[in-house]
Amino acid sequence: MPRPPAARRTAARTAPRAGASDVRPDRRLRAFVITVLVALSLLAGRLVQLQGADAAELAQAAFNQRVHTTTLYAQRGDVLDANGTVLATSVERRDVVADPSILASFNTRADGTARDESLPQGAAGAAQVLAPLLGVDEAGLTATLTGSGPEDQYALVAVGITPELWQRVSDADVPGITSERTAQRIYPSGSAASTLVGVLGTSETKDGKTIDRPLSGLELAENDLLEGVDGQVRYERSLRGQEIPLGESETTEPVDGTSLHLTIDADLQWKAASAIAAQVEATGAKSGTVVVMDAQQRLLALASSPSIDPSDLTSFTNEELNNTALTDSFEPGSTAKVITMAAVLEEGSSTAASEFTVPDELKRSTKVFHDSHEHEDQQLTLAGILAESSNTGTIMAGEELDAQTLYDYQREFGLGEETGMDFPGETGGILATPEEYSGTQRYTVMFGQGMSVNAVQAASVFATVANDGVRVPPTLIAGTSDPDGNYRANGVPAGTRVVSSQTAETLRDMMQAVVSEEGTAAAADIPGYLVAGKTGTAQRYDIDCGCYRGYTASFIGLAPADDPQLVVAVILQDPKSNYYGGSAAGPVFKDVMGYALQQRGVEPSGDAPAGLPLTWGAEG
Amino acid sequence: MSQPLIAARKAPARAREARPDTGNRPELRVVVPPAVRRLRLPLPVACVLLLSLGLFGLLMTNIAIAGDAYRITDLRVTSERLADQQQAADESLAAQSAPQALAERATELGMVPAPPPVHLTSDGAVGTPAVAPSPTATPTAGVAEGEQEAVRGTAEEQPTGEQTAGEPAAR
Repeated sequence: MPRPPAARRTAARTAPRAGASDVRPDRRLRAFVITVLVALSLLAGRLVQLQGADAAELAQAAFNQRVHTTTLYAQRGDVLDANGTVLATSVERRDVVADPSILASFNTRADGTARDESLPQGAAGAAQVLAPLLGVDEAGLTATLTGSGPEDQYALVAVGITPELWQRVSDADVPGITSERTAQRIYPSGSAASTLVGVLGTSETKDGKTIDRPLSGLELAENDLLEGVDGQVRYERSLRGQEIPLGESETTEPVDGTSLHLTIDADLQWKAASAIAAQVEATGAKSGTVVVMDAQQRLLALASSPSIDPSDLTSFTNEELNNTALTDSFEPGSTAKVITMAAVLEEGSSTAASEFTVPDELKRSTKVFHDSHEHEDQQLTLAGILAESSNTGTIMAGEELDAQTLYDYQREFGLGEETGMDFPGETGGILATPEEYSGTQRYTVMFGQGMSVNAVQAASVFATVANDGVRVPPTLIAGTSDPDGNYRANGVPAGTRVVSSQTAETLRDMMQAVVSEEGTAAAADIPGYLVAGKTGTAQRYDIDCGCYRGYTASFIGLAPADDPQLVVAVILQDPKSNYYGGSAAGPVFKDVMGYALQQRGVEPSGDAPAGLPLTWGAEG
Repeated sequence: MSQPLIAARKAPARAREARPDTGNRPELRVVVPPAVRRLRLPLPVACVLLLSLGLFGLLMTNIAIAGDAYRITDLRVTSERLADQQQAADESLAAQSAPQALAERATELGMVPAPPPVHLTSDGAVGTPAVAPSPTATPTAGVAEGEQEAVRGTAEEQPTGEQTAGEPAAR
């Protein structure tokens, strides 16, 4: 009941005040509210824009700032010898890179004064800190660190330093000094095995990255196995480099390369390499090769000279890169008489004691063949023909077989085709078929001219004789081990019988006479062991002039002759001072074979020398 | 089979019916609840406490995780340094066990290549014993004697020092 009057009273009380001052607060409030609303709606709009429209893009930009990608480098496979001695391995190295634009203000406060009074400011100061660590000249380093001026942002300070040294450089805490990781291939055995193992060079890709490029040898042949696949890790990290826990991270593990286990013996390889290098120098030869293999044709050493020094790839020639044991073919000369003799014996046309009256010259087809020296007619047995290395005698024994038969034996001994080792640049030599023979070739092939072989093929012939007539294809890689270290042996290739074991034994007996006093290679005799071998002194075909010029001196032998274990082939191309196989290559054979027998603990020969008669009719 | 069971179930019911009433009304009593211990803390305080404990636990877990991240970084650095050391050791071992390095070291120590060995077999001694040659300054890898003489002259001028220390080895 009292309500209406009260309401009226209120109205009456407020009305008079509203009249003059009511407008301004109202408008101010409204303006304020509108301003706030506009501001809020702007913010809201921006919020919607950020959270709605651009959200994904911005989140990605932020993520990209946090995320960091590091390459996980795969290790290239090692190359190891038969005893696990490292022939090639990869190590980490650092290239030190400087940013001269940052270094310009080294040891300098914002006001231009030096932080450390005892050090010069700028590049000179940095050089003073780093020069003793890197072991370089300070003045030179200052010039490097100064670069081409304050705008320069890249200067290569040092190449290929060890990670340990880089750690010390990094600990010196010079701003603007960073490093780039590289891998370096090292070859502890140096030039002794460089032509066999090969070398790994580098080349630049189109986008300026440096990648490995195998240049030769097994590095090139087995690159697919040796090469690993780099991985990478991506993770979110804080400003100071810590990984953000529970952040996104993604790792692709690197796959290391497969390691190769060779049949090579590093010690023997070194012995062979140093022996042949010394003899190449002594005789002024163009090149030299030593092949060491066992009777099962596992290669124990493949040395060639000249050879590249793998620690210095700045200058080398192609000759130094090639392993002449496989990449060089030559006319074998008298060492190929062994094949002719094997064929003659196996076919039964002659025996070791068959008697021949051998003149010093013999006319066949259009050509007169000579022996290496003039002599009266000699009464030689087949063994004597081999011991004296008579060309005319070999023709007389060999012409009893037809050309095709001899050719078949040559093929079965592994001539005329590659060894199947897939070595880069390998040549299988040239072996003409009887249909392709020109002129006197039918006769020259009997004593190893008019055909060509590589050193491993030549040694392989003797290994077949050593292995009782069974030829096993030569092997160089014994097995591989995957990145987890699981070793897998390569299968041993099956052997094929070329001649009977009886023929092989007779051949070994005949070849023993070669190193006797009457033979051509007394210098190759090894005390305590029976050695069977054959010299070769062939006219050398020179590609440069397209003619025969100079000689190929060789000695190939096996020991012990009564229980053959090892075969060593020594070949010297174009020796100047001494070109006879017996006296030029024989001493190297003796040196290498003597060492190999001793190193491998081969028992000395128990049997007496075969002592086959070399002449006939002399007593009577 | 079910007959005796049913009978047994019905039996107590019958017994209850048979029981004579003790009074006219069913007896109602105030059931005294079992003794309940009174909560010492008031509910809000308990909530706050629980929440703080939870948060504290969460904090500790986070600290542990973050701590691990730092440890991972540190261990990674340690692991890298150890890998570097191992690599350096391997490299040095490979360099020293290489044949030519061994030959060089042996020569420095005054060792010479062994002369042809003499074997003792059931047939007696095979081979003739030879006196080891006197040491030369270079590994006698060469085969020509004159060659060795030539090399010896130049090799003596070069210090066969260590790779690490720049000083020539003491002679």
